Amino acid sequence: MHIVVIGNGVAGNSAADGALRNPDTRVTLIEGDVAPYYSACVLPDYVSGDIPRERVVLEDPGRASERFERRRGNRVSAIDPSKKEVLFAEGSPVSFDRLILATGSVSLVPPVQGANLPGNFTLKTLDDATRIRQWSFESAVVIGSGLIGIEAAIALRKLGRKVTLIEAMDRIGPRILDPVMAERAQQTLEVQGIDIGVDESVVEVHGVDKVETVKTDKRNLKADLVVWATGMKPESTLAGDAGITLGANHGIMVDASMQTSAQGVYAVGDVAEYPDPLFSEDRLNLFWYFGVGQGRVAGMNAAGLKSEFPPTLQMGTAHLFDTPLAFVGYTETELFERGLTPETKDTGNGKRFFHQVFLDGRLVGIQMIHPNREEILWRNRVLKMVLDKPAKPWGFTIPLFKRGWQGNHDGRNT
Amino acid sequence: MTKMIVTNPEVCTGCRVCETVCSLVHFGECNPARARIRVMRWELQGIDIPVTCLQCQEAPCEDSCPTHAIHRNPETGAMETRKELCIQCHMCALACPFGATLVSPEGEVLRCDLCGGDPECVKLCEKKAIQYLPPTQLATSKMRHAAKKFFPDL
Repeated sequence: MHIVVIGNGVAGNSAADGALRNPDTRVTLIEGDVAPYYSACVLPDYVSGDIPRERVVLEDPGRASERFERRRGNRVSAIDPSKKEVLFAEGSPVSFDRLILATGSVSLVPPVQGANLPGNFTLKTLDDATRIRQWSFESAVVIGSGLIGIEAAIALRKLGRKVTLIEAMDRIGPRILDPVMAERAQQTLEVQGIDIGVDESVVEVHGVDKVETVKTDKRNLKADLVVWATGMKPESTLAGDAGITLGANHGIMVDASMQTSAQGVYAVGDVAEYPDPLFSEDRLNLFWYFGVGQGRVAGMNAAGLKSEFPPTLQMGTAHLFDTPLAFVGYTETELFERGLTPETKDTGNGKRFFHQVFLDGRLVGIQMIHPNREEILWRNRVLKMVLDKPAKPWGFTIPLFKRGWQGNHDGRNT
Repeated sequence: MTKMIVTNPEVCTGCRVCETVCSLVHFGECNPARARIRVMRWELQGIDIPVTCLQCQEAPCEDSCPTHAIHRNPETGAMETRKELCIQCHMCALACPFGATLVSPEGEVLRCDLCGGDPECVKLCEKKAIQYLPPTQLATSKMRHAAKKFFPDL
């Protein structure tokens, strides 16, 4: 069986791994760029110089075989699910038995005047990171304070430059942090010298032949470098053109086996829109481990091995200089916006702080700041979430372990 | 099949020899903060439960690692971290459903490596609350344990 994977990101490579588990399959991985397989998550560490380029690029020694082929530098122009063919701009089409789309996402830059001047960057690809490293600058403005924005600001600050972080909403990390946590995270960043402006939106980027100032609705900022971290858009054009059903967020709709509306075509990673574990709607999940898990599941299903991707929560860590920050699950704000009434519990003192979000008495989200890197407390809380269904960060439990934890101690339950 | 570490909380006394020997073997110091196995204690109920890595088949730590630093040792079946690739993002610690991935005070990731196939904590556990068994024996030993409950005198 011939399985074609489009996309050389983590989801695509994981899908190839999954498909190769069946010894009867042959896999072709197609990538339009010539870039190697690299880890997009560690790009901020590469920008700050914490890790060299060799460690951004990921090796895959186990996969080189006669059953696996890589095609780089030839862009796919269209896919035809009915004829089972992948068409290229140049060269002859490739036919497939099963197709896995792992085309990922692209950075979204709002249509602000001057956003195309030299000195404007995004931080999504290895190419972006390399160009930021080569650009000489004294002061930088990072626009958008999601996880990428925060990490980009930290990376640039580690280089010793003046950094300003601009956020249009009322707090930093609006999708991942609640106000109490965002305030603490903001203090942590400000202590390290990052200037943060919330409730502030960019009006215009000025400059003659490169970026010179950034004009917001509150002030003018001098800047030699602008990083746009204003969001991502799934790259679902190929699927849309082929008539595959897209979701409300322009991702490709998939079922639990990662199959799209077209038979034999699967979508994984950033481009796939997957059902939310708590609410009856689909959401995009732009996280590394979604790509790994979904890729493997799609690859196995394409190769004829049955597998399902369990409902999974968003989860992440970031290091605000020396302060680890972690989040799992839903934020209080998001639940409020859905018209629900979550309860919260804040614990901690001084530097250490936990913010838990409960819905109907069940823990559905947690955000944590912990300076000691002693993560026993993290794990107990995450563990509790695993056992106090319905929200599970990973959709399985091991019966032996569950029995141990839930007691059977002659009524002396823990 | 590779052997696996099995804990039996019902006989654990909470002596924490396992923690001590774990840090001694791996770091040359008796420091439970660097141990890869931890005994969780509930003082009021008088319960002690040893927790360590279960070496999951489809391991969340491996999936969540953005640098592919975590891989399975084919000989022992242990999930091992390649130090030179680890960027200490601690996603594996967060992803672990059992909290069995720990972090040392320096930020280094600690996960049971089965001591290369000969776990020291098992040897020193006086009450056999930690055992290292092949999965085939595991089912039998659990069954035996359950059956014993019918006859407490055995």
